[in-house]
Amino acid sequence: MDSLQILLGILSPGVMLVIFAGVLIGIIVGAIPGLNGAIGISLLLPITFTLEPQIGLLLLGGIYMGGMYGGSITAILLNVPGDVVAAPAAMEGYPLTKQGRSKEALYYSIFSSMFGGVIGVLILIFFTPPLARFALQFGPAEMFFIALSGLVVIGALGGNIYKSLFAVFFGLFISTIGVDAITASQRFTLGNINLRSGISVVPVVLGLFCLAEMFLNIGKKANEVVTYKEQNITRMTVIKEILRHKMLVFKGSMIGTFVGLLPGVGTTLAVFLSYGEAKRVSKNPELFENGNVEGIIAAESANNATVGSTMVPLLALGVPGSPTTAIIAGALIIHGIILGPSLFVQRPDVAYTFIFGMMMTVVAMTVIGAFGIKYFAYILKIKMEYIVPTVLVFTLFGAYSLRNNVFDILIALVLGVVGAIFKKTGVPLAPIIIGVVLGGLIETNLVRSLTIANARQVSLLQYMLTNPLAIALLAMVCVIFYVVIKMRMKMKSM
Amino acid sequence: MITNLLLGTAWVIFSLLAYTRLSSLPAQSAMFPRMTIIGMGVAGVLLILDTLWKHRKGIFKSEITLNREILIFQIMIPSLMLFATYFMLRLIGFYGSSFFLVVVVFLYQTYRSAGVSPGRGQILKSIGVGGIITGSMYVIFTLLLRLPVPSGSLF
Repeated sequence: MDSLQILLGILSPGVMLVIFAGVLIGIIVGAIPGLNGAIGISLLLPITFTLEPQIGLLLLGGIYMGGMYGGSITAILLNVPGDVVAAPAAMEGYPLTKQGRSKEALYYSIFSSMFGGVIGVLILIFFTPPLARFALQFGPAEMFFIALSGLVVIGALGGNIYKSLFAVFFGLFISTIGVDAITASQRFTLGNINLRSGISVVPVVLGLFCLAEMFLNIGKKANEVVTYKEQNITRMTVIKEILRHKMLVFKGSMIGTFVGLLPGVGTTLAVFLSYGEAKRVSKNPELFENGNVEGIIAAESANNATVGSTMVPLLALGVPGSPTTAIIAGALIIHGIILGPSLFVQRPDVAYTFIFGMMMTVVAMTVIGAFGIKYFAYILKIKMEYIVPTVLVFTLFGAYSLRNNVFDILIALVLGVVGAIFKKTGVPLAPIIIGVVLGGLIETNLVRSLTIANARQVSLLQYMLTNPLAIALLAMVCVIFYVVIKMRMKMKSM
Repeated sequence: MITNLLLGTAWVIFSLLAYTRLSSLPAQSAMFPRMTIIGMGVAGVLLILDTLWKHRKGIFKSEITLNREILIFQIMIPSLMLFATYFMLRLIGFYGSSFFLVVVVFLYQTYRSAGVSPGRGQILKSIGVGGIITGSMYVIFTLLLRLPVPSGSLF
């Protein structure tokens, strides 16, 4: 399949429809407080089973891109960030809404998201294939260190480090449940036949993200009345104004791209770093938190830039960069697609359609965002009475649909209760998902390394650290960890 | 502070229980789970020590927002509804139990947000909403996408 065929395939009406539908769903779920892109992706997973893998992936990619932007709508119009990453948009956008400039704030948000999204996807297009080609040289020791880099997430999160540490180990533990592929012995199955095949990532995600979130949404009152005012401002005026701040857009996008590339670090850090940097270099820092468009430009360009770049480690190395990409990884696994360097060799059609198609998700987001602004206020009027039961029913079906096994619903329910308690006790949920996804990769490569070391009659450490590439990767893990800790400290001091 | 201590203790107990299950496994199969279990246990111990140390120094800052009301009304009652739905699902299948779940959650949500018991109007509305949501799911999943849905022992 050549590039032209792939591009023509992406531009076909059916695929464009899927992309636009994905982005629209993403914007809607992102805009509804209590929902986010990750939940949207989890709920729509069953629908992708009926689609070609690459088309299903573009649907999920569209939700991811749209969800990133959608969070800023509630933040700007209601001062309720749909997600933590939209907090800076609330801090700067809501004061503008109170001044009757909501349309302007929404334009700043969509066009900054567009610039960030384009840069992130360009990195995805140009960086992923060479990285995957390079990663084909990796053996078990190298893959072990790569997978380990995904666990850096524990350093990136705010809050209590021991709770993050527990969450990662808990996720890794869940991944060990089931029959061991090498010795065929049953691990932690408690004699239950359903646990022999292990716990899949989908019920884990649905339980921890959707059910836990819905539990805590029960009892939430209806949104306050949205006061969207029509303003005499054109899209071109805002684009020109954003381009006047091109350094801010570039810096925000580069921060988003860089942080997104670090496996397991996530978007929150990128958004706050970019926002903090904008405040630091601003000529009018005192205007921040009072409706400064510079804050919106910096934060929104950074968050959408992470969408493309978090896909790079996922596609090239098989290491998800965020909980959302972990769910996308789950979707690919359901389609029988093995992530990592071999993806570009075995299924180039899927890999290239997805990475080029992501550019169209940016186009779709911009079109919907720029022309649908006046309708966004309607999304915010949907009451929780309708959202909570709908999401719950979709979640039950989603958990079942992966393996057509009712037991998976029970797993999702149990983890939903656990997730709700963890959320309220400050235990982060993202590392659990990352742990579940990476557990298999870490264990397989650890056992392979051990087998090779035994065959060569050397110790595991000796085997792992004889190859210069493995040493370089271990050094990279240490550097990433150091950088993430430094970033976390910088964010805390802001 | 107490919640942190309870959390840490629960993790340690969970780790100890999980550790006892390793004895019957071959060494290679037990290696990685052992690492994760020790990791969980160590995290639990460190959480307890960190909490006690911070409390003693007077710098303990709670991140916990769990209280009795949240535990009962936002975690336990919704969980019971969902577990009831799960057992109904095994009996009457997906669509019947989904309808039940939507109706019950809708009424409970109304009660929680408005603070008053739902009247006849609300009950009728919940049945309508349940019908619409379940009907939409039937159209999407069964008629359009032809995906299998869980069936119960009765239907």
